[in-house]
Amino acid sequence: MNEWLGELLDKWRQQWRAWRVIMFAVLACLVGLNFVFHPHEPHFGYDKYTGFWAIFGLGVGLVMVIVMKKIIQPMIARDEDFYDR
Amino acid sequence: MIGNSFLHPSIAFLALALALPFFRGKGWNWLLLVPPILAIWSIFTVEPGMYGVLPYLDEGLILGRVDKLSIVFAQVFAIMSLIGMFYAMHVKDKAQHVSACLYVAGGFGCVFAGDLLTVFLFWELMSIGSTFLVFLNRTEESIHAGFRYFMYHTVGGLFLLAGLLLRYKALGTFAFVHTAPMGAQYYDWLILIGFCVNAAVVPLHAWLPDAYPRGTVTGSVFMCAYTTKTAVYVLCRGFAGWEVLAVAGTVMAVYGVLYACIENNARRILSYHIVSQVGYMVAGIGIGTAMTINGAVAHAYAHILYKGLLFMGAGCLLYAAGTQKLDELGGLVKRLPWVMVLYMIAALSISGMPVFNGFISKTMTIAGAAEAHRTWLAAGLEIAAVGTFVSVGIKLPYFAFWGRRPTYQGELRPIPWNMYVGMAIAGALCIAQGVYPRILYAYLPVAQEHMYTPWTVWHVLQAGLILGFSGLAFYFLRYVITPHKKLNLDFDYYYRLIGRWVLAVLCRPVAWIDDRWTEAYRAGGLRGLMAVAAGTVWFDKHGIDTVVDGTAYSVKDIGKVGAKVQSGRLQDYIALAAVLALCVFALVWYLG
Repeated sequence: MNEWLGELLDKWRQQWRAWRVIMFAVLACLVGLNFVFHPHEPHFGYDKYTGFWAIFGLGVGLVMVIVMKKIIQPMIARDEDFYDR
Repeated sequence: MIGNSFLHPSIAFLALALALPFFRGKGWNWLLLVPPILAIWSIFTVEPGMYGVLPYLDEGLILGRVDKLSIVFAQVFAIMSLIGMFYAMHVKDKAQHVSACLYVAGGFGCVFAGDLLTVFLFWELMSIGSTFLVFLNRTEESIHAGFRYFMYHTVGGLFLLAGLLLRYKALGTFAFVHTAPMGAQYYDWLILIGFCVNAAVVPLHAWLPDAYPRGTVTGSVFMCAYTTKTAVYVLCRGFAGWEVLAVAGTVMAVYGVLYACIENNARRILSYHIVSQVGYMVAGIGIGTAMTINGAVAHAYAHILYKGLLFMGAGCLLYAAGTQKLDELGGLVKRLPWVMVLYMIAALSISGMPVFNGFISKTMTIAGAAEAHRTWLAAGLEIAAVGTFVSVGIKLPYFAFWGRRPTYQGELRPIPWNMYVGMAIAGALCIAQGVYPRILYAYLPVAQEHMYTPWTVWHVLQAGLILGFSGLAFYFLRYVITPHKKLNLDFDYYYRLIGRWVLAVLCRPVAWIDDRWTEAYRAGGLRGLMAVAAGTVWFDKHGIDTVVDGTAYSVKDIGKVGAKVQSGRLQDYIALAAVLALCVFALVWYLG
């Protein structure tokens, strides 16, 4: 069972191009559905507009990673044995 | 209402901790499952009420306050103890099991405590048990981390002790009840600080990502469940509706994900996410509406299950490959497929993906914050949700199990079956609660007019949009977010600075006095001693040889015991101090 599942997942791993297509298709579907469904009571104001949460997820994700990895980490990163020296 | 039909779960864990060292041969590891099963039985059959009041000092120690809030926490504690014990069954080192039992017993004790003194006693028991779970990893790194952890929790415990004693002086009671934020006194703040240390409220949090990644593989599974959630329980009991907690919780939620984003060590990523997830609970408690308090409790319940599973998954990586650093792992999906599947159940749960239990608890807290018109706090919690999915949901599994870099080629230690059983139970519960929220909502402590309904089209779509597009952000930045072998400075930099400063202030005068004393001793004391010695020799030669010999032998024997006890290792002293404290406690109780 272990090997069977391992082989299957490894095969999927090599088919990453197909998974990328699936991912974009799913994201497109989600945005499509967002044109139909809206929150009953928008709490944040802008969330009544279609695509708000998509932009929120993408924007926050991009900003967080870029700021933390490119700006903050170079300032606070030390060698792993920093405290042992 | 005082009854005696309640088996306090701590009793079984304490009994096992006492008995375990005496078992020989094989099969004793099955006994580990007995206290958790008794605990589960006890929690599901007990009626609310007051049980077990021990007369102590002027007041009674209330050991068994059973109400809705304590039941829901004790229930998940009991289930988690069964999961954790299954996961730890293969471990031969009995000391680890004893520590875990003491630690879990402390957790139950705090949850059922009806007064602050009882809370404090079990609070310290937890602190000792968990310190040993760090020590017993038996690496130099973990022993150092264990000392720091113990020092820090001792200071936190002292805040609690000072607060409860000053409160007793002012009010004449140890009763553990809700404190209204208006009119709070300085002693209430001291107690709050003591609780906040264990809840890992930023900036008092740095002990957590310092110690948890260095605990034993199985010990950290216990630790990630009890310390912070016991703190959430006492905050919920004593400090609901405190504005400062609402803000602090949101700061924690965001702070934790920011650090997790740049971390390389798998269990440290998860540790920062404890800070973040506990932030949701603290914020919910701070906002203090029925919905946010229920959301906080539901999230604590769900969190214990999925965080336990996350630590078990990361523990499997460490157990099998011998490392938990993401830059040394990769492509393990072929060789550890079930670990990946079970880990992903927990990862999707913590991210709040529909079908998994984070979806029904996290969204409840955020919706509660928004409905209470705390828009900025709700926005902070949504930002943290994005970061959670990026780090725990994708980054960690991507760099450990997938990734297109060279894969991990080293030996893998086979993972024992019992570890899989522990993970499977946790995974099944995560999904069951996600699909049938009622099995969790039924136990929530605060009555609500309209119970929150997570399964609406909009909630599912919203979760899909946020998670899907934060996943897209990861896809765009997968080469930027690649983890590096680095140590990221956190607030513990300042703790160490304070520690060094205190040492300098205390040690210099002591060293100075010691120097002078040594000199004086050399000049006067030694000469005097020599004279006494000469006298003694004369005395010995000229008389009562037998008496002196007898005395000498007893002194030698006492000295031997003394030397043995003074091993110079702080862990032995802590254990000895704990035993002595228990003896004194028993004596006072017996004589008083």
